[in-house]
Amino acid sequence: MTRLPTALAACSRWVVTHAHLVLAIYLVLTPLAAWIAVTGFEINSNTERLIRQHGEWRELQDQFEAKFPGYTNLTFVVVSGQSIQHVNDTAHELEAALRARDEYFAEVYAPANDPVLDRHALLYLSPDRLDAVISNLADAQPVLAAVDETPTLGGLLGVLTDSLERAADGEIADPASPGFSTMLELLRGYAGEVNAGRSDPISLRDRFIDSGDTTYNIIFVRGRLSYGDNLPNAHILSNIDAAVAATDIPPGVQVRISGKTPLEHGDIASAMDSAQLAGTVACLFLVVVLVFGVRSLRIILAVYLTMLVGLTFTAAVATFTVGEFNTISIIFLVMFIGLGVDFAIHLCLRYQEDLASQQQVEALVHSNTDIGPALMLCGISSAMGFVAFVPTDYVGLAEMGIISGVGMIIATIVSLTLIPAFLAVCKPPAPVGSILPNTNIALGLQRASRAILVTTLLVSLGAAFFARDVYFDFSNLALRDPDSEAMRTFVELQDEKVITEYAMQFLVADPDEAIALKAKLKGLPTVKDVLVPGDYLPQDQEEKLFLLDDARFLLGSLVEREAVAYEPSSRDDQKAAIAAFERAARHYREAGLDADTSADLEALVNALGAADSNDRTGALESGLVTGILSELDWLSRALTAGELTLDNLPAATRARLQAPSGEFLVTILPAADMSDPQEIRAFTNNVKALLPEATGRGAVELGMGGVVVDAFIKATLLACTGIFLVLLIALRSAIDAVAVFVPLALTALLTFATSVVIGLPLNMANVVVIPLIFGLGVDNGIHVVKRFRDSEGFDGLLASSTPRALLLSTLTTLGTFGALSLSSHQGIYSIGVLLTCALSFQLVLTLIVLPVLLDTIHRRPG
Amino acid sequence: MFQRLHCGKAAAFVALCSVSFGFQALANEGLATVEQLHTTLISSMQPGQDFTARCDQLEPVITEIFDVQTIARVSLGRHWRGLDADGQARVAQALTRLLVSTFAARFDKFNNHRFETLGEETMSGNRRMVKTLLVTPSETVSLDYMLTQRDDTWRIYDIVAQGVSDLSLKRSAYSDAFASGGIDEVLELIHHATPAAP
Repeated sequence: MTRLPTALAACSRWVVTHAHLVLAIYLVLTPLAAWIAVTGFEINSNTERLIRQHGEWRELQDQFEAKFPGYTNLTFVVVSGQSIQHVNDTAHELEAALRARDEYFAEVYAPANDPVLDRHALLYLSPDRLDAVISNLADAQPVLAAVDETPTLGGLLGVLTDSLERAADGEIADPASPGFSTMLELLRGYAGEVNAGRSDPISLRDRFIDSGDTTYNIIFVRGRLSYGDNLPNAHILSNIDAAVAATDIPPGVQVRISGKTPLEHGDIASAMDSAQLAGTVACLFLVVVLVFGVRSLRIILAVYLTMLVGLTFTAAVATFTVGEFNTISIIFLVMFIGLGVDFAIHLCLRYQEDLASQQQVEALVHSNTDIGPALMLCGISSAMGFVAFVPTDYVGLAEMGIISGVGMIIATIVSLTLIPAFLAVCKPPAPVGSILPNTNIALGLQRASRAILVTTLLVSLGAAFFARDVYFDFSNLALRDPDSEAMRTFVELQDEKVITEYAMQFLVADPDEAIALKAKLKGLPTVKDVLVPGDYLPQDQEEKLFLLDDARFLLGSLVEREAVAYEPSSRDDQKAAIAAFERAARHYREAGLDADTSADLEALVNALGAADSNDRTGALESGLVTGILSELDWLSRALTAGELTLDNLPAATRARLQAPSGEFLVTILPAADMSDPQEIRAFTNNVKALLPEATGRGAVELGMGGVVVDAFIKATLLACTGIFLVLLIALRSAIDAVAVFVPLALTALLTFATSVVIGLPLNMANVVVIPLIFGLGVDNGIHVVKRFRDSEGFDGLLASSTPRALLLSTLTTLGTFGALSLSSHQGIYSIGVLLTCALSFQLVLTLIVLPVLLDTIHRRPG
Repeated sequence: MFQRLHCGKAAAFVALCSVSFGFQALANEGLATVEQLHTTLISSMQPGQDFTARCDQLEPVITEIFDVQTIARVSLGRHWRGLDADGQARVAQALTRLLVSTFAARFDKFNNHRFETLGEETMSGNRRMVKTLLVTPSETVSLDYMLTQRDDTWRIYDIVAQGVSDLSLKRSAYSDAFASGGIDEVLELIHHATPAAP
């Protein structure tokens, strides 16, 4: 170790005396590094690839995915709205637009649009709803039959005119049945909308089948993955967006994108945005801290320059070593802004301090030589905190470890060369002393040392009490931006029980076995429902087929009608039909018949009159007639549907229920809210206890969570051991090494407690914080111990530039990590919050508790 | 509109259709049932017969040629299957009385009534449609009879007058009534609609 300062001094002197050459080298190398970093930049967001997966849970999932490829790597295109007709029309148009781009998609699966399921749609209603729908059809029968017979406005109004006239003449009983009122109201409503500008056809289905709930029609798109591309999902999503843009979406219909593919893609976008935002905020914060803390433009420039050059080199080396960033390692680029300047700040402030007693060149060489070993030690120990993940199965953090570890070494080298070179060509800044010139503080701290130590002990006990409840949220969803469209849609689908990604799957040899298993599984407390292939068929089909038979009796020949084309009638015919209806309505009113209908009748007469005077009768006729004709076409198919069996299900649907090798799929649905990781665990374990071979997203996430927790423990132990060894070697004092370690252990404890108190559990991203506490926190400890020794005690330490450097460097780091907590990306956000808290604790502990501890230890023997 | 239809080119269309119907219907079995109804109605309107006498004359024929079970079943929809045998019988009985009384009240006095048969059409599910016109000096009304075969006899289950299905009207009214007040409300509604002797 004694040779190091000599070598360092020689190097430093060379750098200072050849400052222009050194700067020139940087001037050439930095743009080159920038070019490498920018052209080679890649980011991968596949969270599963971030973890090296092995174990039974992975094999089971792989087997399942091989047999049922239709369930993996999906994008859901969710069409929803109140109007069944509008939702289905939009979904059909969208499906066609997607299929037109099928070179990008392995499969476009639109189950609700399939003609077979469309034909059997009525069978999927509950018997009660189906019965109600048939009553509604009975209400509409006169109008349906009239339009089928004469597809014009005259034909439609004629049947009503005729009923009113005949009722007024006393030839038939008053037609004011519920059905008649319903039709008047329906026509009045549509005529009013046409007068207000509506141009799409009337939808009887909305009126007759609507249950008041939101209708969802989901198209499942599987992209054709091209692994050669940087962002394999980008062109899948951009083509889906293009298909959506090409689709005419009526008001009241929403088209949203969700599913694994967009969630992962959004994850990258969100991580990049977050990194950019945090980076910008961190840079601004840095200016503020430096302006207030350093008050020298030259030094601020030196610090900034060092940071930028170091960042560029780190990014360039990352593309060489790891090849790509992931959504976690990307944030090291932000962290570097805060960490990279630390070394520069220590160096610059020492230089400023040394200038008080030395010439510029001597001061530069001296500060470099004096502080260099500490900086190198800090660089190594910080790197260890990061590199600790390298030997684990958590590839994502291992990659970050490599990038960051290299980054810390780069930061050290750049600081020790670029800063002296840069400052050597500048005029020396005015020298300054400590920000804590008053040694009374030292005395105060010394006097209060017992109180400080006791308080620390008590706080630690309190923290330990809370820290016992710290837990790990293994869910991938915990990392996503909860406000992104994909995530909000995903949560809505899960809440509405339309789709859950956390179902578990199990394969059985035959349908009977599935049914037996269903009974057994439904007894489990965590299981809400079990879907066997038969459950995808309508239930109670026999009864419903009887009900459909009723409808065939009611609608008579309409069921077997031949398709009729709409041809507009003349404007005169339309006028005449309206006039005849008005006369009949007047006649009916004059006869003093049912008063209940009169308001609707009056309103319909007025709406028709308005359509006539506004020249909207053409639009009214076409909307009414085409709407009713298309409904009749569907009814002829739907009312003659026979029993739906597994054999006559569409092939694409069948492939989702039965594997090519013959096994049938049993899907097990969770009872509890799967946004709670404890519930996922309970559900998965509950099902696995009965069916060890069941698989599903929960099982995979639990498996991956296990890998992460293992990696976390392994990395923390490695970081601690490595750093302790480095401390032992560097400080050559077991007791000082322990003294440096105590604040770090306490910081970790307080951070766990904070996680529990603020309800921010550990997750796949923020587990990196704990090894980092040791890696980054040890720097300040080393500086304090070194300075404590150099200045021979407490007073000298506090009077030196070290506390200011510590404060400033920790503040810049805090600012950077604080900026991370502005992220929309939940993983990055949680790292930001926990690291900010951790560093704050660590700052207080290192600046106050560590000196007191050192003072207490070293005074007693003396 | 039906008036216009029957006077003009539509009448020719209907006649044309009835030719093709002829090919489809192997035997005009449904027609026989409808003509039996028409003959009975015309004969019930002979002078000197009061409402009660007309009812007595119509009842056995209507009981024979109308499928009251189907009318009751389709009218009540899902509720029908929930009724016990007694309830079903009461509804069927009330509906028979409604049919008989309605015919007796409507066809009360012979005024040169004339029924014209336009043709017969087969439909799926062993059903047939017989299209007719009722012509009186004051108007022409289209009457389409819907028939189904039970016990080798074709029986009427619906009459579509001027495009309005009587069975649909019943379904609209009775299924709502049953939902709100059960079988009693349905029987009450039928009773209310049944014309009584003047």
